[in-house]
Amino acid sequence: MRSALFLLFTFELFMSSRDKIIQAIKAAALEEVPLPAAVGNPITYEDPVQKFSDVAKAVGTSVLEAESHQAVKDHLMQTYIPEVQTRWGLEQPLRMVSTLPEMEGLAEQITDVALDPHSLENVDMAIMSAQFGVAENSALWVPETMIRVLPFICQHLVLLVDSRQILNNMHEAYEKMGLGDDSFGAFIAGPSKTADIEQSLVLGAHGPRSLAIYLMA
Amino acid sequence: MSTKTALDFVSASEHKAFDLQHRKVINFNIDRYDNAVSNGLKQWNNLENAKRKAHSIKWRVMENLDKLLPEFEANFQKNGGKVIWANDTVEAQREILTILRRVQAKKIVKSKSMVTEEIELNAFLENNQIQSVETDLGEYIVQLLGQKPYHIVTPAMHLSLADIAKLFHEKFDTPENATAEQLTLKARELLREEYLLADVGITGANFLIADTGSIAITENEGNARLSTSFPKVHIAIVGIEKLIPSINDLDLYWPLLANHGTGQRLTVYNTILSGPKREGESDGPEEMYVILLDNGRTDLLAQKEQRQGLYCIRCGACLNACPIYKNVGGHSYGTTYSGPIGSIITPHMKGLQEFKHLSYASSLCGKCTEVCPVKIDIQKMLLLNRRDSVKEGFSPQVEQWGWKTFAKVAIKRNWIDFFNGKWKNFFLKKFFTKAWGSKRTLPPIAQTSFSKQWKEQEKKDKTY
Ligand code: SF4
Repeated sequence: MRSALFLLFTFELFMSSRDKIIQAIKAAALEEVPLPAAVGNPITYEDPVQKFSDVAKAVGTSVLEAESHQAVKDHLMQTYIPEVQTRWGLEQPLRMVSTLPEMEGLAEQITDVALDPHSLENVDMAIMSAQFGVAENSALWVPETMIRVLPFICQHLVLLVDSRQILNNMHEAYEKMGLGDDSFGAFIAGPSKTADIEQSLVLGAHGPRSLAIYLMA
Repeated sequence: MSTKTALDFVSASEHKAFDLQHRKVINFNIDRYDNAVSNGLKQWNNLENAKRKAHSIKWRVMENLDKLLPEFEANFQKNGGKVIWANDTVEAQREILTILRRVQAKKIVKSKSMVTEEIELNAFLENNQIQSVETDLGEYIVQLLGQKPYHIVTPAMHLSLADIAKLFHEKFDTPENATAEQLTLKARELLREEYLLADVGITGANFLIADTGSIAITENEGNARLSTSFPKVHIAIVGIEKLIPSINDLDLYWPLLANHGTGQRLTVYNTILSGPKREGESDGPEEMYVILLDNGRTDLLAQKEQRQGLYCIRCGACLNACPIYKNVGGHSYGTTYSGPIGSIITPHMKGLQEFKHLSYASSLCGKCTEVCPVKIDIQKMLLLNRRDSVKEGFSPQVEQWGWKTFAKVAIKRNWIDFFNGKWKNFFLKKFFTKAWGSKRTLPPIAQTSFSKQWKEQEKKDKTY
């Protein structure tokens, strides 16, 4: 008996933290439980695109429509960029960066994997595409391709999304994502913000100060 | 028999409850929160069902933790990440230090994490000559003041705009009457430097996802993403209860957390991080670690009736709903997790003897249970803790005698009538003043008992 106890004791001594935690969990006498039932039907909308744009505007995002990449480019140059410059008091030309080949000529292209992310420190505007949007909360799924930090370090973010890719709710979103490589990335719903000072909302905390979405026809 | 912790709590809360400025700031902030939440909750067509499902998924997680944790571990390792298990604060600190020493880290950036508060990471790093900078605005503010977070979601809730403007004026020479925008902008500028220079980013996580081996981080500011992208090492330290079975469960938990935490439909950034930088990526950390922390959680798990305290998603709703929290404030609790949820988990994680007094820091009004998005029966947990602490003989001796005698006397009519008001007042004062608090006067008991008065009244009525 004594030696058995001793063995147990020495065993404890040599047990890894992992084993200790798993042991403690097992010792807690868990029950076998079945999977919970589904939650009922999530909300769907008659016009998801309309809903998406209403919710997005309510959280401070600009929502625009465009027929083609060329149209986006034209609108950016003629209207949106000057607007941003006036609104934020930026006189100098903006440093624009994009992961979309279609933005060639307007924005620096990110194609080189060896790029030092620190060199993006002073990007004024980044133009990227989102894979899909969610009407109920205006979130856009931006998968992590090539550059993780760009949508966060830029001062102003522009996202393009195909308007046929606006889903109703998060439930549909996860069905679409599946479990593949797509599970790297972020849902982005609006410009960065904080309410840490007296709960009053300030846009532009650490991430982009503004977000514009182009809904592509 | 009252411990020092308990006495500190009583004196701190007595003090705060009469601090009118404190009350004003908290009420103002919580009012704004309440408005936002009542709006945010409108997005559900069946909130009750969603909460019920959130509860039952967490229930299943706790009952299968022995299988789900290794599942998470295997999947995260497959993605190239490393998993470290830590039994307690000391182990967690040691593991972190080992990594920091190996990569010769001098500066780290942190994004808001209550678990790092739990293991007192900032003080530990400072003692080891490593500078650690909080990047969440609220945390940054309390760090500048040398304080601890006041609230699990809104760390600087106890400060007014004027307080913060004054602080920034003294430290960074911003205008004395700066607006919230100006202050935020200043912090933004200062912290951007820090992300670029830091060697290591340390974060918590809102969820550990078993089937994809990922961590999910929810934030509004973007600081967590910046803290995890630039530095070459990312360490996430996470309590083992943060697990959810599948990435698909986020469709439920993310909105619930956002609605109950700040009233938003969805928090601005909801990130899924599944491992270090991969081939074909130009940034992201070269090494990513997840530290799975126990630190008393398996002790709570061992309490069958009380283990639902582990379902908590740290939304903060029960704090904002709690009349006690609003009066005594987050700092009085003297614990990492304050408010109703802190009161139910701390005694198990850190010892019933020392923290059982928190089970009494409640009016049992039930508001906390009502608002909880994962339907933890907080009220019941408080009562169970009270039961346990009495059972284990942890309630003060004098009060125990007091209650026993009180029970004997109060249930017998003739006993009650036997003592007159003077005696009863003496008895109450003698045995219950401490529990009642020195700033309140015990209401005196009527000289004649209610039943006697009633009888006399009846007699009088009859004579008319
Ligand atoms: S106990 Fe419930 S209400 Fe309180 S913080 Fe946790 S999840 Fe939120």
